[in-house]
Amino acid sequence: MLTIGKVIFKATDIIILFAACALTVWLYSTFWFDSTQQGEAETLLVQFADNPPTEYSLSEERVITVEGKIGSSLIEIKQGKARFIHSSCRNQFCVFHGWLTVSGDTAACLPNRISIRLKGAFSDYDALAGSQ
Amino acid sequence: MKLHFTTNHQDHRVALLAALAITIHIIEAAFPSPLPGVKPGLANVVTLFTFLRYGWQTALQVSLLRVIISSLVLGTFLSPTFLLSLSGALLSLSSLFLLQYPFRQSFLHKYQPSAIGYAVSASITHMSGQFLVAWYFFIPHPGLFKLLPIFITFAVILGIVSGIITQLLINQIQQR
Amino acid sequence: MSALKISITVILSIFFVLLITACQPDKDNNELYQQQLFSFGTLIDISVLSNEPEQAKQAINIISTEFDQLHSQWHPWQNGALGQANKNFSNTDFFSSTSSIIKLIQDSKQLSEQSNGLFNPAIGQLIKLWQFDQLEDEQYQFNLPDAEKIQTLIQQNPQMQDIVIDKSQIKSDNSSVVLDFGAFAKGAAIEQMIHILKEHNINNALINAGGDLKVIGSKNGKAWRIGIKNPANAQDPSAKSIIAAISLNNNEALFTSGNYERFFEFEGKHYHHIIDPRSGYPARGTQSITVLSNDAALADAASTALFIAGPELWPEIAQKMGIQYVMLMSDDNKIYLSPAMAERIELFTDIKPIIIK
Repeated sequence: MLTIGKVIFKATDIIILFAACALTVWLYSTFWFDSTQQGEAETLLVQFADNPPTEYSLSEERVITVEGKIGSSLIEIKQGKARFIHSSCRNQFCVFHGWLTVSGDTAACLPNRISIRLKGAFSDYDALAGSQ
Repeated sequence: MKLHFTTNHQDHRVALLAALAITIHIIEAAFPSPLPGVKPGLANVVTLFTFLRYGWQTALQVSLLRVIISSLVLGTFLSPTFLLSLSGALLSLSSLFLLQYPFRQSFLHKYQPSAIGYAVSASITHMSGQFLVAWYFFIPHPGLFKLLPIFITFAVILGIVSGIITQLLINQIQQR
Repeated sequence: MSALKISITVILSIFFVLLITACQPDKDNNELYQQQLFSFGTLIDISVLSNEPEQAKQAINIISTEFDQLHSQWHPWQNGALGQANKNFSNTDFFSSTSSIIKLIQDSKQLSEQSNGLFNPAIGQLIKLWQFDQLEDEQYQFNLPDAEKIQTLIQQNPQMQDIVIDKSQIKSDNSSVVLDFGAFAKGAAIEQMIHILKEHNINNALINAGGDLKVIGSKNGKAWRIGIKNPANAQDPSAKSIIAAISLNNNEALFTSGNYERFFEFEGKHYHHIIDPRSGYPARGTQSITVLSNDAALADAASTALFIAGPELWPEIAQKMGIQYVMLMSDDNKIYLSPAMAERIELFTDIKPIIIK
């Protein structure tokens, strides 16, 4: 028990205050300093033609092989980013596109009808403008 | 036919406390907030005082009267603002109820928190309740959550302030 | 029971009934329905907010076939309506064409004039000469086009104003005219797709065709929020990936043209696909341009015209074309903004923008 002037702090009060401070600190760290909340992507969606997309976690580094319309495409997941590393198409635009880093970013191999898109629970944008 | 209303002591008490809470609520409404409708909830001093002194039933009555009548006066009845203040009021009262519940056991009674402990937890639930309603119904943008830590910081500070005020209030009344 | 308790009970019960009913309209937040299409030579993302998923699916299916059809109809060298017309222009005689082609020609004639000829779809032969369509071919060895051929085509000076329209008949007074709507078709197509959506009672949607987009309505009451990709990010992955953000309201289209979209390297030099009709060579001075307008077709044409106009001339052309919102990044990494754009755009870069009246 702690008395400051006429105000009494009981042990339970101190515990509650402590918990409140801990909650506040936790909220700051979650919503301000956790990079996954700031438009950063968490999963990769890989889609072939009109089929429903397959979801891959971005935390696991791997290379995915997808069969498309004219052959296979290789997609690499590394350090929370993703990119095409090879595609059976002739133009290889998708490979030149480079790494996808932000949630909502897409790249596609048009001839092979394969598209990849990054998805995050906290996307800052409804769409991305500029060349894809 | 003539309707006859009888009022008892309890009714007078509720009316008096509600009038006080409404006054504070309306004054508070004049201050701007970064998220429309989300308020510090200093009117909760009255709710808390009522709760600690007269129990949760009285506090519920005062709280509801405060929310409904203030919104009628402010012209926000059934508007989003009203919904926000109602959810804040109900949630903070529930948290008071839940926090007190275990301490009703006689062997725990002496550990019961003082006004400050109650005020801080009520203030946090009040704020987060309003925040979640605002997010769920009106601004379902995930970016809103970046404001939550700031709101909760204020909630903690204002909780301590209103707890101290309530404590002093109780001290004053007990001295008489 | 005291009067107060009765009144509180009554108020409470009224309130709970109201809460249950009042929450209903708030709860019917429309579902977001998204679909990707491979069409029009690009990846098209359609986001529709609707509480009737069947209706949304149906509209998207119609849009999908429509995009495919327009792509073949409006292709300059395939055997569609535009390909046919292009074969006939060299005769300089009247021939009949489809209403869709005539509408395209009418609209682009006007835009070409407003842009002082910087937007010029009549230079199809010049664009063909640069062989950007061969970017599809990995094995293709890029060479610079023959300078003499470019000069000849510049002297022949094909213009939209050479085309004469007489009801459903068209002709060109200049035999070198070949129409290539590469800088207009996507915008015009998006306009048509938005129209189809509205016909299906869909009033909240976003169509993103490879980074050029138009929105209608809102996303459950909030403006659509768009991130603009950083052109530097294509070469340098460590650069910021989003350079700016803007919120779009009902009926707004955002179009971007960049020198990094389609290009080839030849003898160490960078040649991109936006050809200046005055010189016959890739336009210089601009890295990328973003244009906002209520009309996607206008935004598409203007983004090309203003790209070619470059850092000095763009304000004049923008004014003539009726474009208020422009962001231009020059070759030397300066950012120019129109005053209206400066008020709306959020830049995420240390580069201090130059606001031009």
